[in-house]
Amino acid sequence: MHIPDGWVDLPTSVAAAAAAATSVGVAGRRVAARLAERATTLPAVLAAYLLVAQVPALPLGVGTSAHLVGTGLATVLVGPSVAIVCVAAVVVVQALVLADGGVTALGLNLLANGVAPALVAAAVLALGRRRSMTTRSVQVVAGVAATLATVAAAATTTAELVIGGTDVIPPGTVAGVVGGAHVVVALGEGVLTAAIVGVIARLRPDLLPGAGLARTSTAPVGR
Amino acid sequence: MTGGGHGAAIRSGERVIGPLDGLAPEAKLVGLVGFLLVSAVTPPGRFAILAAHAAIAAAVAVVAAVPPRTLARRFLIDIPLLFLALTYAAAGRGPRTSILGLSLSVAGLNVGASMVAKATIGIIAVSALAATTSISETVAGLRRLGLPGWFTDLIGLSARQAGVLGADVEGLRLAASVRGRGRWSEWTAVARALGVSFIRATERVDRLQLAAQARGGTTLGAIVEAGPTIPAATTGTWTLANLPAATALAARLLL
Repeated sequence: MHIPDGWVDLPTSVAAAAAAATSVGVAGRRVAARLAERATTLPAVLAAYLLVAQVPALPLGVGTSAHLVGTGLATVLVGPSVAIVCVAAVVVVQALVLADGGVTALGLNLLANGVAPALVAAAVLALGRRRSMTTRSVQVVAGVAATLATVAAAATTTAELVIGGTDVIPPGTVAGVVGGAHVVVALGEGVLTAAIVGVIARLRPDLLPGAGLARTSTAPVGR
Repeated sequence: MTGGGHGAAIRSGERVIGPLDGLAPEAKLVGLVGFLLVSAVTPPGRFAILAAHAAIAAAVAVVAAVPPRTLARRFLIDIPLLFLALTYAAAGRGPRTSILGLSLSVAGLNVGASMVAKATIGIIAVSALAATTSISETVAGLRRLGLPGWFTDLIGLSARQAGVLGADVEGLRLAASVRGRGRWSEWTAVARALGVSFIRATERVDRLQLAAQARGGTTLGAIVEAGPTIPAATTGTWTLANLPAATALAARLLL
């Protein structure tokens, strides 16, 4: 979820904005060093991909629907630095063009939906990835990374609402509502991310160089 | 370039040209943030002030000719947030009151209702900006306000690419969907569409890169600057753009 304007107090929002700006600055420098001349094109196209990937609504079976959030997927595909930079662009476009998420809450939403999930996903990948994994194992690691990334996003959002909110309700209640709503979303995120990674691993394993895929007989299509 | 949902709004062109369209984007951005800050720091429960803020935002949205359907769709996206706001009323501490047979906390009710009001004010205000400001203008405004060029280039390019990719994903999803069967067919269709779309996205990066190199540059920033001339803010523009924030502040001090 995106925190709207006026839900979190000013000091917390400003502190989050400073932390988010610093994180994006660091990530941006790493992206520039790693991608050289592609430092604009690759993150821009991937940010567009994330904006688009959030559109298809999937039925959850109880009259509600979910959609991909994508930070975990982006981290699996291109690493945490590019993912953070991409989500920064996504969050700004959503706040200023689509009126989704508060403008004064930009830092909060960037920390919760970009920085925290990307770092958690990167940690899961660092721990879970082995050399020469089967496609299925690569999918499982990606799915777990995306699920825990979404949990991290929900936890960060909760923390922000509690730290910068009122003490009118107990923190546990906020955690229960935000967390409970995100359990299904997190599982869906994991399943969808694993499936998407499976499609890419099958068609173009060369696009997942760091995933630890074993070289198999499934030849890349096209080239 | 239709994508439905979030994607549908990422397009420029189909706009009613009104008095707010020609204004310098940096002034509009500052005016928006100023207004939202005044609204955001209004203490919970001060509903006269919040009503005034909502009226100001609505007035600007009317001048901006925000399409009611766009506004309605954006409110729908935020419906889940109502449940969180309702939790504050249901689980709040302190004295309780009874509304429609539900026992609600007075303090929690004030906080929850103020949260809903502020979220609504935010959506209306941003919609007024978005309806009168193209993406190129927003990007130019952010650049003029001092955001790093690499980041504004990134925003501009990604917003443009989203239109292209959105049509692509919708087509891929439909193609996979009509061939699918069973309970998980929608999920499979979306996964296939997004998997293939990622592969095509990497091909788009190659194409964009080639085009940039052909122009002799390594970055794509020049595209953003090359659009129609975007006016710079004058004293009059700043005054006009900050009028909503000033009025909101007056409402805060007087009501």
